[in-house]
Amino acid sequence: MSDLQGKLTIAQSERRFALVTALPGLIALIVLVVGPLVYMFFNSFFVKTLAAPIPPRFTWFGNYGKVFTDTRFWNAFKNTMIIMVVGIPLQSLLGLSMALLLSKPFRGSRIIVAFFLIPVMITPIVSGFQWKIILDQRFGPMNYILGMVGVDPKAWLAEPFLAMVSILMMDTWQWTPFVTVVLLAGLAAIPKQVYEASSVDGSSTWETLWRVTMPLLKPMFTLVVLLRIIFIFKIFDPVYILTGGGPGISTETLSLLTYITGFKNFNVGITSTLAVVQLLIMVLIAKLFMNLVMKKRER
Amino acid sequence: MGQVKLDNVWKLYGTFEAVKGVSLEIHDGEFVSLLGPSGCGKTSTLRMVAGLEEISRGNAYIDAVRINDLDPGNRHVAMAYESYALYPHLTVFENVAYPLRIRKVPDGEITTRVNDICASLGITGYLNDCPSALSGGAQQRTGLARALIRPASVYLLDEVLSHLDATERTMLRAEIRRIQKLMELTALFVTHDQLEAMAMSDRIIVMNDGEIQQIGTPEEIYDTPANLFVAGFVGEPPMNIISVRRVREGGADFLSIVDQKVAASDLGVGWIPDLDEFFVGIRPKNVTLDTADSAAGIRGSVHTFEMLGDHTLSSIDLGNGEVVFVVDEFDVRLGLDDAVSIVLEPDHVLFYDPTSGDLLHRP
Repeated sequence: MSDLQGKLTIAQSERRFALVTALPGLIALIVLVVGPLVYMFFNSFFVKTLAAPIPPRFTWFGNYGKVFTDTRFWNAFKNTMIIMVVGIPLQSLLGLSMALLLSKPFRGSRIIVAFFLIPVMITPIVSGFQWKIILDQRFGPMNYILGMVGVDPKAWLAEPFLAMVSILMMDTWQWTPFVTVVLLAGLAAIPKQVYEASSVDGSSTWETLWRVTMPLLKPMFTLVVLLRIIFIFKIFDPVYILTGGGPGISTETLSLLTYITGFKNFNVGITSTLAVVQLLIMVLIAKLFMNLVMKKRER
Repeated sequence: MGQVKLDNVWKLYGTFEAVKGVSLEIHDGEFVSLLGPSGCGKTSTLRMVAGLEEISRGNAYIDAVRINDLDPGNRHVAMAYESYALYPHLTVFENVAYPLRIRKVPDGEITTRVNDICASLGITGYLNDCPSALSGGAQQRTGLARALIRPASVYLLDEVLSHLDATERTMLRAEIRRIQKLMELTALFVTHDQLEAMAMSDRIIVMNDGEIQQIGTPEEIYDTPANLFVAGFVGEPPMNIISVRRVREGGADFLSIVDQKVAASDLGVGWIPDLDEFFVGIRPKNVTLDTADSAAGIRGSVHTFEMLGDHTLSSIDLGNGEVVFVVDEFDVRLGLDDAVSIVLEPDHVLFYDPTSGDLLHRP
């Protein structure tokens, strides 16, 4: 009998290798993601609170009914959407113009890019407190600077509209550099010769931007917008530190509402329901967005 | 109309001189090749005509208009590139249509013109594909179609055949030449491949080290290379360059090649340069072999021997490392180290100055 008898085929040994290398990740995924997710879905069907010694009671979709008829939920939903609808285009536009500015290397451009990353690198809670100081009504530099050009001091964090503006400001400050850096990578990946061809073909700078640069940046843009949709759904630090959702609940977002329900009111059932609802909305929006992008690409 | 004129044009990158005072003229309807090894300044020269590189010194004219300060889009040039430079997000149709879209040509006319040019370049089957789905050959045809779709004073072709496989290269080479002739286009073609330059050009400009070495028709360049560089660069196998000393004995001229003395009159060339040392240049096909023991000529031994289909290529060692290549009839068979004599065809013998490397002209 030959030595070759009973040896593993290539396919068998590849499968075995794949299984061994993927196993740790798979276990972690099940324990840390799938498990809690299933438990969260499970909890969302129970009236369950940690604040009182009442045993959990199965309620079918009772929690969902409560959430969808709660004006506070819709308020938080509206606020999250406002941040998304205003913040993402604003940050994309600013990020794009800065990326275009920095895409042609000049003396010191590398240092500027490095400085640019600071807002992304600072712990959000720290930058939150920085912004709180900057926006302080009486002592903050913002009002001081505005005062120099003759603008009366504003109650940045105490007026509903300005409080929302403040959150958007901080979010934009924090995330525009991220957009810039991703788009810079996208710009660097466009071959120089394509620009040369475009200029020989007679395009103006604007035409090149619209007909060449922007279409070629689209994959990067898609990535950035998708990530920002997800991040804004999770937006917590600026809201928690700057306004705490206030004044009243005028800047409360879905993530903050979930936090308050869970860790201030200890209502496990409703919190789980809110989390499930957010997950579904997020998946829905991301799916709609991707469909839009894909459809355009097919055309 | 399509005329290009460069007047003492320089390209400097910092202190590095890439192009050193190039002057040339391309006439209407002419196909001119810039030929030279990599780094010789040929691509820099082309890019200065295109407007993709600034002209450091000197003047460039297209149709008698000075173009130094014009944008590439305003120079009335069209260009095809070595690495195709297609728009990756556009289909073949839209790539080819791009220059017309920029010029706001009506849709109907765009469709007709794109279809026409794509048909003549054989890419009609790919119109709806994106460049990444195409072979190198089809991509380059698309690049050429994009250049040829619009009228331009001069068509600039930058190493457009370099990345293609051998068959595709030979085919496209002939097609480009055919389209250029039929449409009477003025073209400036950059290549490092002397065979391409020979096959396609009305005139060839040989460059080396940022300077023009010779301007001439393919025949002129091949038959009478102006200096040792051109002699060595053009032709495959290259021209034999043999080091020769001139010796006077008893009132007669002798040529000393390695250690062999040959009477100048035996060479039959009629004239030899009035120098103590010089180089003799002769194409391998103009050297004949004689295997007879008594044969007159320069003696040597067979170093290598190859059969190449319709001819043979042998290298003959004359001693001291002096090797002469010989292209001969197919029916000749030589064994390694066979003793042979070589005879140079007198009409094709050229003489080169050993210090300047320039061709020495017969009086």
